[in-house]
Amino acid sequence: MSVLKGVSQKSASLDTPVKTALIVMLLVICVPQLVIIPLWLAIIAGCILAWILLSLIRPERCPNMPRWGRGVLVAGVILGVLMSAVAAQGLGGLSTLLVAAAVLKTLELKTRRDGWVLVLVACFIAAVGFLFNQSMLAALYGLISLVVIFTALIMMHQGDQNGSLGFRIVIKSAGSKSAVILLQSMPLMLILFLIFPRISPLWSVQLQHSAAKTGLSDSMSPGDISQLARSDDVAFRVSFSTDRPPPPAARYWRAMTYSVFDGRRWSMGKDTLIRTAGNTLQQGDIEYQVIAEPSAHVWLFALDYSVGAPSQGVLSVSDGSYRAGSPLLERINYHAYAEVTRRYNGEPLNERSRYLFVPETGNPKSRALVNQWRKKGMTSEEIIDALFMRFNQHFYYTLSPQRLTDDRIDQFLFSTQEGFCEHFANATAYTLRLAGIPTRIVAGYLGGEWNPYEKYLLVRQYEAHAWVEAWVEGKGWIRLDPTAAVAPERVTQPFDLLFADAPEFMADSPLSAINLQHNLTWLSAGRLRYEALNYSWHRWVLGYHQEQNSLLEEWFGRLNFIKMLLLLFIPVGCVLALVIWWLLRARPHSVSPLDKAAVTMSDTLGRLAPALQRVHGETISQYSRRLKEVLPGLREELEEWHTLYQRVRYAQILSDEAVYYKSSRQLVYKIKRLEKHDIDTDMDVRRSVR
Amino acid sequence: MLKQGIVREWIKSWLVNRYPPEQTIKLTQSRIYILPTLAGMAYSVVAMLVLLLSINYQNNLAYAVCFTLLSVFITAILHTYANLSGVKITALLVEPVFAGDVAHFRYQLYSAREIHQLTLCFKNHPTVTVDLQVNNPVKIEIPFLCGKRGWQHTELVEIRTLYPLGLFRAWSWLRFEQRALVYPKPICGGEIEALNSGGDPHSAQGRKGDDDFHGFTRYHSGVSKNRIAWKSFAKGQGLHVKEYQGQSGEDIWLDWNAWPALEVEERLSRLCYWSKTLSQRHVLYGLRLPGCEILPATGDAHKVKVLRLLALHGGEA
Repeated sequence: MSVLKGVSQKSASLDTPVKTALIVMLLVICVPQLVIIPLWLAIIAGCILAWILLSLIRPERCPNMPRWGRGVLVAGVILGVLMSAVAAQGLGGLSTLLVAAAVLKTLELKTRRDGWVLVLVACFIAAVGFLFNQSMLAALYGLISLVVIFTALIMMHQGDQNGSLGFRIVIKSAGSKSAVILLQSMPLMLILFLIFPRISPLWSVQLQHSAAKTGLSDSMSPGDISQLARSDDVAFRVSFSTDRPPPPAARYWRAMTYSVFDGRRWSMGKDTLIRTAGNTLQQGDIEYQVIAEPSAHVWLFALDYSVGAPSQGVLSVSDGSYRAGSPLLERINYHAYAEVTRRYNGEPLNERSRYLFVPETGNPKSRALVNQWRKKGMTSEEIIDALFMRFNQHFYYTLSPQRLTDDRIDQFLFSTQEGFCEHFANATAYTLRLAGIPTRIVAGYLGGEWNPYEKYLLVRQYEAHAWVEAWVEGKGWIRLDPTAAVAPERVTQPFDLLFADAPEFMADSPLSAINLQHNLTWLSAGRLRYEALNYSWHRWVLGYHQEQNSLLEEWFGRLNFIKMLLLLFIPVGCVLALVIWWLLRARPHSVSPLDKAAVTMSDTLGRLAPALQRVHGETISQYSRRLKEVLPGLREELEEWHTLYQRVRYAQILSDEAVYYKSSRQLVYKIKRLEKHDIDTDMDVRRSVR
Repeated sequence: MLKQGIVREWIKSWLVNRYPPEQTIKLTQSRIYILPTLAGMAYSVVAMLVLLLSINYQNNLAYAVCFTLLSVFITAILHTYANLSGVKITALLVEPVFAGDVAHFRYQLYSAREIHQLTLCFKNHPTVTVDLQVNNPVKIEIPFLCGKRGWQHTELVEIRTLYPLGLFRAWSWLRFEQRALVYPKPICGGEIEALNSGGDPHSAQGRKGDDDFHGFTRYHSGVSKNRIAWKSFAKGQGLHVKEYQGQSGEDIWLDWNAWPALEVEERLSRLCYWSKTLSQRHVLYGLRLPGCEILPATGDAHKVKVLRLLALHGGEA
């Protein structure tokens, strides 16, 4: 029996398979960073890694890089990183730095310590990657990266029998071990994720958001919103406490009001913030939760008509809209309430002059029309009716109206007579102000797509809308939607259905899901399901910090410190106990891989003829002797196989292990190709056992 | 420095008292210690950095990475522990060595589970690393430098593992009931009168020629292979050993009193050297020590007897 002898402690150096695994790990980790790091670094990193990989796989083909070559390379990359770090502040620079450091480290990949540096940097890069991309796909990729990282780590500590077993077997065993460890860690990770308190940032950081698409702007002059109609980006998502959306005609989402008019442009006035809404909640009020996408703006979305106080972090404005404390750079999640019909409790209108201001001159035809109405002695309501009647009878709703020039409102009211919500709101507000009725324009969204699977309303940018509110004595602000007068279907039907045929709608993405969905219902259903999944992802995973308190309280009641500790330790203890039981359990029937090969052979033969299977208690020597008699055609192979088995199993000549496995595989392959007549059936197989 | 030495001594004596020496040791919970390695600590620092990152950017996926790293850290404790737990180590016989040489302490390792990368060593000595397959005992030899003649009792054997992730090091100290016989260090020198009278000691080789063949005796263990009568063995007559006549009937005596000028250890070293040399030449020789005497003979068994007496001179039997 061979005996393993002592070796002096070598400085744990890495062998080729481990180095290869580490380089592959780095490649996997760096792929998502490609969109962040500068192009030159990506190219250099790719070249270095490919060259090292090649020199590991085929060392004879790759001459060593001279020392000065390495020096120049390292100095060049460091210089480049410094220069690009000056240009790109923040996370992009961090990412560049990490990737460059890791790639340069591969040039000096010799000892286990070097391997550790690579692994630790890789862990950090994997986390940094999520600051740029948080999609489900990115998360899945992140999970795979972690498996790869731990595989490399296991290979580092697996020792140097690797050479004899072959790269594939080693990778397979390390990979499955790493997957098992990760799987066993998942429950603990989920518990930590659920109960770890989400602290507010320790210091302020800035994420660069490349061109956050704005849905609306803080001012409008007709023409702005037509561009918006083309974007199918998500503006926000809403879920309702009753799981039922309001009817389509009531889905007015207020973002802001324009009360200041300079003759061409409407813009926001100085509305005051209110601490708590004076109204208290009543039966029938709608409770809803909004997840707003980052927009780089402060305005939020309030279902008409907002009532009560929204959740913390959201400010109420006196015009009934909501605002965030700072521009939305990340997804935000808030609760709010709405009443279906506005309750007016007689408060007077402040700053009446602001809502009545129009320039002294301009638009003579409109002025004449309004004067005519006033001479007739029409009331406010009658004037509004008359105006809407005109819209209904003579006007068209279109997304591509003609351009308006000098006296825009005259031109719109008397010659072009076509336009979209902005044009109608603009003309209505102006006309009513001329008639002495205080008005303001409300900008926001109208509509939303109900997702029946996850029960939320998805509002896209193309659903942006503008309407008018007028102050009527004794009633307060009332909503006037001139668009409803000219094209009632804009209010009651989904916007995308209505305008799917209009060439300018979604003109830049002809193959978008929305253009396709009307032809293919299954695709539409699939899209809705994907949206639903994505919504859950955003709500429950990415936006979990806002849900945390309420969720934990719902499950476990009021939390205190002791309860949190129990919550942490009881499940963690159970999971760890299970894991240790699994690890330590005796496996009486487990066979060594050497014997497994023999078992495979016996099973294969058993399928051919049951008598050829190994009998219980029969040793390998007896079995192979018996087989040699029955299978004369394989005598030599069996002899060789048996010798190898003896050498590896009893003499422990480990260098023969690979040859033994190869021989076993070949033998099984040959046995599979055996025909019935190859077996020496004259012999009583059973007897030869005894 | 002094204080450190005291602490180390104290720990050592505590360990010695804690574990009585045994023949077979099974590693259990009460014997296994586990602590993070330096790399493991660096890993937890990285996990904390990721936590800082996720707090500052309020990024739940970065939180998930951090918690995964931490959970793996915890799981690694169990895996590393399991990679040591249940291993059975049995002490085997150790071949005697000369002082100043490396003795190979032999052990058999056995486990009912698959075990990876077990490292065994004596403190400040080369290590042996071994993988164990299921139910497949493996024998190993751990080197230990023996300085003094006599019985060398085994020091504490350190058995440790880093597998699978290297985040933790699980280790245990083993104290075996096992000892190695250490012969005196052979030192060339001193002269044997009997050899001198016969001529040059280095020509003694010529005198063990086949002409002096004396007869056969039955085989007994410890006899050199080249003295076995292979021819008669091949004829099926059993194992026999060829006996040679010593030169001219005049026996050589290795005598304690031959070098009165030397110290005890130095004398023993000389005696040891001559015993080794004469055995190589298949010369008959005897040993005289104060209080005991071994009659002249030759062969490996004789040599072992002589060396053993030298090794244990003045000490325990």
